[in-house]
Amino acid sequence: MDKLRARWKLERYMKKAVPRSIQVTISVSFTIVALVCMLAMGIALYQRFAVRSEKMLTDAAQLTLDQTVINLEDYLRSMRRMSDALYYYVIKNQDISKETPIDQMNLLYEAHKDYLISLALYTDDGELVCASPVGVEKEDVDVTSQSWFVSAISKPENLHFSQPHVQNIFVDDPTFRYYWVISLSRAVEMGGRGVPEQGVLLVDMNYAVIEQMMEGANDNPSQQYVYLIDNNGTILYHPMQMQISAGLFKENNIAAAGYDDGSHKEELNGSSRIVTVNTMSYTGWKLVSVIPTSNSYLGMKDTRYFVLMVVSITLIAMLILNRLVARRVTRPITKLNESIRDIEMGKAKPSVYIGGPLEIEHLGKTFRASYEQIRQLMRDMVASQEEKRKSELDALQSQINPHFLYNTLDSIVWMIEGEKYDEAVFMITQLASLFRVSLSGGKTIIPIEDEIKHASNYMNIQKVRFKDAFTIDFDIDERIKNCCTVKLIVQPILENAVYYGVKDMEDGEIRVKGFLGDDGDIYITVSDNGFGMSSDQTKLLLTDDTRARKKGSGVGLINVQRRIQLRFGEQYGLKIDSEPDEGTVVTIHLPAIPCTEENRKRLESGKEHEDEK
Amino acid sequence: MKNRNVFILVFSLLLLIIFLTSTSALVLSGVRDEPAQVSVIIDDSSQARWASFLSGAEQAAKDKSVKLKIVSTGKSVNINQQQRLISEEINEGAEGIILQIASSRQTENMISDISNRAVLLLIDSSADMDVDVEGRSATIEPNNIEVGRALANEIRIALGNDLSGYTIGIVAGNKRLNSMMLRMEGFTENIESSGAKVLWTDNSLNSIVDNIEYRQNRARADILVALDNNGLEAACEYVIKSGESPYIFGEGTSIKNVSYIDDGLITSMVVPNEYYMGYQSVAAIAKRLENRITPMENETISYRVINKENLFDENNQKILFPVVE
Repeated sequence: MDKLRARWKLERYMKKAVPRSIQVTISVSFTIVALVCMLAMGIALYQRFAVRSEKMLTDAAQLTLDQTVINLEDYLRSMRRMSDALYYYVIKNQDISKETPIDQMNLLYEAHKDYLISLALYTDDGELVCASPVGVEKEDVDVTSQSWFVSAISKPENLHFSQPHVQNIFVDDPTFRYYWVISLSRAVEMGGRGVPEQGVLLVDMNYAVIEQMMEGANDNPSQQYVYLIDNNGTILYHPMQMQISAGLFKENNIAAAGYDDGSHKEELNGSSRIVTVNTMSYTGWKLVSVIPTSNSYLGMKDTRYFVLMVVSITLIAMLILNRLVARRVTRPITKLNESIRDIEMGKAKPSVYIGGPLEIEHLGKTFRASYEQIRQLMRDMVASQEEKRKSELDALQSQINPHFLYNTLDSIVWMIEGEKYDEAVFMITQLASLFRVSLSGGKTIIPIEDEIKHASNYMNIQKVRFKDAFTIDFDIDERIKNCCTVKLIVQPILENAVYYGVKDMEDGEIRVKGFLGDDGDIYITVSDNGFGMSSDQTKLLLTDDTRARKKGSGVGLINVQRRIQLRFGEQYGLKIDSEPDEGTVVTIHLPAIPCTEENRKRLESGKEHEDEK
Repeated sequence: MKNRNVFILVFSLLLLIIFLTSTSALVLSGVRDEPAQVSVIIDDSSQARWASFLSGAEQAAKDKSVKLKIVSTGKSVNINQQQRLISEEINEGAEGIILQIASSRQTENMISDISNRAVLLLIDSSADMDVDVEGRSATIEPNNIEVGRALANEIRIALGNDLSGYTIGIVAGNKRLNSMMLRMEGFTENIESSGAKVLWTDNSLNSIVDNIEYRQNRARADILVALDNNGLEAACEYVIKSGESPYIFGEGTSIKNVSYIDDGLITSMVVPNEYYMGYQSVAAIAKRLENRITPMENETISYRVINKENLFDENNQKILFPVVE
């Protein structure tokens, strides 16, 4: 359950974190593809580079080894030759009992002084015959127990190279000097005394010479080094000899003794290294070159930095290039998208982008066509709506006429029959005026002056009909007389006031007052002192459309309200204040719009109300 | 839109940083850092007894890329002179000091002063110091009590367990050094039960041969025991000079002493692994300089007992005889 939730969370997070625009998708895909290619190429190149540099390193190591081997072999050979010369040309032929070969020894020693510590000839029981340079033997030293002597006696046919050791034969007292030597010993047959006598010839080679040669081979700043072992793996020279004997460093010398000549890979202390072995002739010594792999192609910091540098610059270049390419590819789509966004935002005159590749162009054209179509449809819809409204208005207006006309004409008939001709004439004049305003040349919007005139015509007629049962008083501010109003809004209110308010009263009083309010709007109040009504009834007057009318022209206040609001907006209309037995005040609220031809036309087409929205 | 831009911006910024760092690293890798300097202040720096120690120190300096400076000193440099030398060294840029201290007494202020300014490593002998929680200094020395005990053991091995009737003269070196005190302690506690009698103890630092002669003339000891290299050399020189033949035991490292073993003057000698001491002291300082958080730790080095029989043993050769070209 938790897993699922975590996954869901992750997915949601990913959706948020990874932007989903086309440009990014293209950019990212390009980058990934390029990256994969680059990686593949990098790995391939790296492999080649690794193999080559490994080969180069081993080749170089091999070269160093070869050189060192040549030097060492040279040195050892010259030592062997000297031993040979001393043996075959001097010792073998000379009668030792009569004359020691000290002169020849001195000669040879002097000639090879740099490479030698000493030359010495011993009898087979360890007695010194002669030595060069002349030295004092240590008192209690028994050479027969020393390894070089033992091996010479045990294998008389061979030349023996010992391990490096401190010479322990002669005394060099005042200087406290001890010499590291490698002893080259051989069994010899000393001539003279009739029977050849066994002996041992010792050539103590200066170990420092070998050390110098090896140091020369090790003289490089890298971590690679060369060491020397004998055929058993005993270390003869190692650049870190002291550390090894102090236990600070470990060498794989025993294993190296078993290696054939050439390069080998091995692991030591967890780090891999390339070991190149070269065996020397005659002695069987092995020269071993060690290259830690961390030293070579991989470990070089420079290479790593270089790789990092190349990778980062390539990535930056790729990122920029990919963004440019992606932007170029997606530009038409982006532009089209922007046009759509403009339309969404309701920009006044949006233009749809058409261009780019064929598909996008087609998309743009189709979109523009359908957008135009939608606009046309909307315009049509608005027009038909307007039409509908107009017809409704017309219908409302036409509702006024028949009842009233019938009643008035009926009154006139009665007057004529009663021969009240003056009154009849007055009546007919008023009626004619009433109709003229009512028609107003088919206009819906008329000045307030005309509307009031219409109302007063109507009231004059009604007063006659109801035999002056009430008084009427018009008080209209001059400033509002030339402002626009929807026609025939005062008359229905007056009609209501007459029929529901003052008709049956003796001193009914209706006052019509028009004025400019503090807020700059026009207010026309129609107040009566009739019976009034309850607040419940008041509410219903402006909301209930279905109430059946018993009296009057049948045009309810609700119709007046709707007409005002259709023209001027919801904030305008009627307000009714009424108290039972006190009377009723109906307030018409209109905007103050001067009744110019232009305003009138605008209002008639119903535009003002639309714009406000 | 914003999200995307931020994402790409951050990514490119990261790449740019990597690019700049790697480029600068590439450029800078050509310019090697100046290696840290470590100064070595030891008594009588040119003396042969330091050969092994210094070759260890030099090898470590090479391995750890440290610039090693062996300050040239004469014999018996006192503690104030040492402090002055160290100050000079630190002013000249030494970041590490390897010090064979001249005296172990009342060195608290000096040690805390030095270890505030440089990494300090004491060799051969510890010294009085305040509690050092941070591990800003350390000591590398042999287990000196064990060295003293080993000397006593060697006498017992050579001359038998019952030494009653034998008299001993001790050349005890600098008694203000902890190392000498401990060797003395180890020696006396181990020799007491043997029945041998300690006739005299000499603590002189100069003209030791004359002092031994003086003491021997007053009360002749059969066995001379030297607790340090100088004392051992002096004891041998005294013997050569006087023609007497007492048994000589002692601690030492110099080739001179080795040669005296070879000559049979010294019966047996305790040789601390000074090569290791030198190597480790430089290595420890290099480690501390690289990582200042790791506290330094005291270290004990091993020792060997050398006598005429095992002098030329393969393993001993490497430690005792430096290669002479």
